[in-house]
Amino acid sequence: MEIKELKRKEQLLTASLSGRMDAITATEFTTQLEDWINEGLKSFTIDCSQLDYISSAGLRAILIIAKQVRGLEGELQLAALQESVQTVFEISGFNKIIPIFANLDDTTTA
Amino acid sequence: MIPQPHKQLAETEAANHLELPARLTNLPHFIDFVRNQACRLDFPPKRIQEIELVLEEALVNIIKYAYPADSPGNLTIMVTGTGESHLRIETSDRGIPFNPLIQSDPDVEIELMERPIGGLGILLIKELTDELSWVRKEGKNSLTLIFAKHHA
Repeated sequence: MEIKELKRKEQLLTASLSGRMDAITATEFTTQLEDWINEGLKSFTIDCSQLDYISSAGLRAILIIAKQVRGLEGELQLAALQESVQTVFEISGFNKIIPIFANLDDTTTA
Repeated sequence: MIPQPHKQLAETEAANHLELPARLTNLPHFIDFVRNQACRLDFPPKRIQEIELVLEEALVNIIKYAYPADSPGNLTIMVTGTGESHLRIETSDRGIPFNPLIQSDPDVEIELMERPIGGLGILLIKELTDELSWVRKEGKNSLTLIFAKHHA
């Protein structure tokens, strides 16, 4: 799994997530996002077009961060989910609690 | 040179089961093993990815909870194709008795700030398998997961 900063503007950061977000790698997401939150950022837009796989460990990491940024009156938004990742979001109901956009350009912060 | 008359037989038997210590670092070995078997049965890539996901959820539960942290035991998976159309995976461990199938499903309608962290793994297992059963026998937990080539 790789998480890469694409751009930042005031308290908004856009990043891309690629590879596999599983029980072994998911904490890399939490660690990186918490570092950014500690730098004073509070809204994140994540391009997931290269994210090939997510398990419940990945959902857990996303939920932890989504709650933290909501508490800061920020937002975690995801864009361009692959079909398999979309399926996992639908089964878990995460598509109803996390704002998801078809393209990075459609997000409110891109 | 030591003769190995039963080598061929031993390899065939070894090909459908894998036993390793129940540790997170062994997860990729189990997943690769099952992926290869599913590829051999010509399962479509989308279905193979769902099988990988179910397997991760089932194995992570065992790895995290079956054994005391200071004395991990082994985890075995056995893979068999039933005809050309189904893949059957049986996991077994000698850890504490635990039936994942009787745990109640998490409420997936709860709003963000009230959502509990966790509990989604078993839901994914239930949704993505075609048949599912658990039994405790001979001091072992045994979970059987059956996947149709094309999930209904």
